[in-house]
Amino acid sequence: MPAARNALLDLNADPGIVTRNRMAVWDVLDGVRLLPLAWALGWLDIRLRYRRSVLGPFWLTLSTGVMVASLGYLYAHIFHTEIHDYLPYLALSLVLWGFLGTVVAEACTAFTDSESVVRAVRMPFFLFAARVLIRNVMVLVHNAVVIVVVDAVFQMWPGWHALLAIPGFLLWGIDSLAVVLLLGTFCARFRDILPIVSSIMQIAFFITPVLWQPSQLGRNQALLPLNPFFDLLDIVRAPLLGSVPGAWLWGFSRGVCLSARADASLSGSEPGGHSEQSTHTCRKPLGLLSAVPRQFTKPEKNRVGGCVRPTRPGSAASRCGAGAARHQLQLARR
Amino acid sequence: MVQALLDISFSLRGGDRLGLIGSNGAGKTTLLRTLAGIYEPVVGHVRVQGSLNALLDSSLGMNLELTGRENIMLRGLYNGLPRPALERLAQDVAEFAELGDFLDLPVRIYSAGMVVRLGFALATAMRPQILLMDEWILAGDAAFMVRSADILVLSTHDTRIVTTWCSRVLWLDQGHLRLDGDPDYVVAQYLGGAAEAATVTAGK
Repeated sequence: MPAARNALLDLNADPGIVTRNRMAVWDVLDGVRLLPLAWALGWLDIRLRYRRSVLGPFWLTLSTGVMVASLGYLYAHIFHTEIHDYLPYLALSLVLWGFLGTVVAEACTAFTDSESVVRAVRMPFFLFAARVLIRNVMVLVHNAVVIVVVDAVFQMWPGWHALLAIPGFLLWGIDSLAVVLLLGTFCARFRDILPIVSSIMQIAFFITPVLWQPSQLGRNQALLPLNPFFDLLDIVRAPLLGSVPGAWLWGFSRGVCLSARADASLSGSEPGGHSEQSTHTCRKPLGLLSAVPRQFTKPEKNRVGGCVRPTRPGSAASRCGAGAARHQLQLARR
Repeated sequence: MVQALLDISFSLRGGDRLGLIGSNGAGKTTLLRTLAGIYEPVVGHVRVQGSLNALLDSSLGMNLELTGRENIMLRGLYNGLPRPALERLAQDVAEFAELGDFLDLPVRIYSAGMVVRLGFALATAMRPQILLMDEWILAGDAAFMVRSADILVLSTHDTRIVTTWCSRVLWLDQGHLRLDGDPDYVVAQYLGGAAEAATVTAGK
């Protein structure tokens, strides 16, 4: 049975910036090659969560539906809004925010949840990010049923503008992967990040128009785009609500800018660099594969060599995030 | 601060059978993980050429909630096998593990013997050029696996396993390389050292 995944493994203690970036790119490419695995893992996560229940993953749909219905009636009353305006808005907002919030929350545990795998076999870290994304897209698809039902009941159709949500969704996918790699790495190394992230997300839920509508702010509406969560949410939500493309384009470009800037600044080292690269500086050097003379792939020429002197985990942490995650896991075991 | 391994240099070629001995915490498993690329060196250099499989996880990497077939599929996907190869893998493993109809039931309800058979069949289904093993796997009938790999690195407490299977032995002691050489010689020194330590303790 062939198992020729790693034809060459070449790890140096202090790779230069070029090697690190190449390793990061290979980590992502290698992860993309393993997408069938990420798909299977994401799907199994959902299935195992609802195993042996009659409704299965449709419990997601049902519980979201109940929440939307109850919150919808309550808040329509509190806000003195018409229910047929408010409920479709709420259903869409809650489901979309649910995706964003869960991705961010699960980003923090993306690597630590897979500790047994990370410590048992060398896998591209991108795999775990893809797993989180796939799992949450599946949840989103189940929850989207609620949006469709509510829209059908209240006869709210967004029209062709809705198609403009597609590039928004694509951007969400890229952002999700970036945020999982970034937060996953930091949270594996520094366990205090998780509570910080969850409280930020909770605050964000209330200060972002999810339960309430932007129009309720009156003139202060103009300040809303300063909230990055609003931009991010609206690049998908606005088209689905049937907004004009002008506003949408504005929100889109703003979302791109903000997310790219956040990636660059949070990942620190390189201006303009994607977080995938910066957080994954210590990964697979398959780029060297092409440089391997062919005879090395013959069994007779197989070699294992090691010259290892790990010193301080702290220095590993400063060297690269991925290494830090590994070291944290290593230390946790000791 | 933890210094897991320090000043350990060696290289292996096709046909080499390396045994790692040493007490608990000597760094045997850490060295295996480093060779597998799971831990990356903070100082130094690791270079491995050839397909590699590391059998380190004593829980055999199985998810008890999944069926036997799903576990086999996942293992294949982890190894990057394409779809048709997955089907073949499932057949091979199922035959080898003699699971019959249990293949489509959760591993949770398997008998202990069936779990071991499935785990062993999974572990041996991949035939890498370089095999890294913690000693647990040798509890089974792993002789043919040991022979099929070009390079074997084996970590164990059991000096008899080392003298039977290995052509070279590294004796690790608190992350340092204590002795490197012929199995009989290193094992004799290792056991002698242990006996000496015991005498000293008893003398106190």
